[in-house]
Amino acid sequence: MAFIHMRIRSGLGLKDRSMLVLSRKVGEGFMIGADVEVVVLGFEGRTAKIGIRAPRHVPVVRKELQAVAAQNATALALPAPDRLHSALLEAQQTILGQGRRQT
Amino acid sequence: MIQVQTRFLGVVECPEESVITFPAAIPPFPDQMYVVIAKEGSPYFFLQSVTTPDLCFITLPVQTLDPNYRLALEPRDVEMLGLPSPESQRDLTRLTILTIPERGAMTANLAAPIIINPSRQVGVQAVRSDGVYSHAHPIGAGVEG
Repeated sequence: MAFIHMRIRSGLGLKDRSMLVLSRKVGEGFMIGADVEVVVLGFEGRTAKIGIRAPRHVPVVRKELQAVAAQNATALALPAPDRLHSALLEAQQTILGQGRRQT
Repeated sequence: MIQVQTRFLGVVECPEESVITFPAAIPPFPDQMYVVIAKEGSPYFFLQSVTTPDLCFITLPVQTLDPNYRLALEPRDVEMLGLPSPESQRDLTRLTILTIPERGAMTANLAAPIIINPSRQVGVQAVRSDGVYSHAHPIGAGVEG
């Protein structure tokens, strides 16, 4: 199984981490470590169908969901009540002010 | 009625039919159900877990913040919400989760709004991948210069 691969650097928003790029046909796959198997199942338009076989303890999360989860966790950590109260009032006035300008 | 221990309002009685399920969860919090409670005298709504008092988001209706917001639902969101067609979005509740830092402007997550189908009491956090809106849209200081 001959992989075509190369290493690329930055330019794709990757900062200082290089990325291994593989070309795989439908039905082909690759391993990450000894336990995680990734297979290309097919394509539908611009969407790639990827199959992943991994042990239960390895979390598999869509990348954009990880960012959302982090943002949600940040949103739950609220400031002290007095700061919270004034921030809510201030934003409320800003929002209502915007509404008035628009009408 | 069910008794919901809330983060900000003590115990609140809610009709059982007001409980909203999120089949794909609001990440990273699996297996939670929520109620939406209006904050009186304000435009805010609490998205409160019915079983975890501290799990409560402060939200705004998306249209309050941006009347021109264009919703973009992925096919899996349309399916989970039980919409008859991708176009039937008129009656959906749209909330944006607010982040309130110790200092600086409050921000709203317009890239991943909470979308609820009130006729089925089902919700999703509709994650956009088109990059049109920000995860941290500033409210107040800094908006429009």
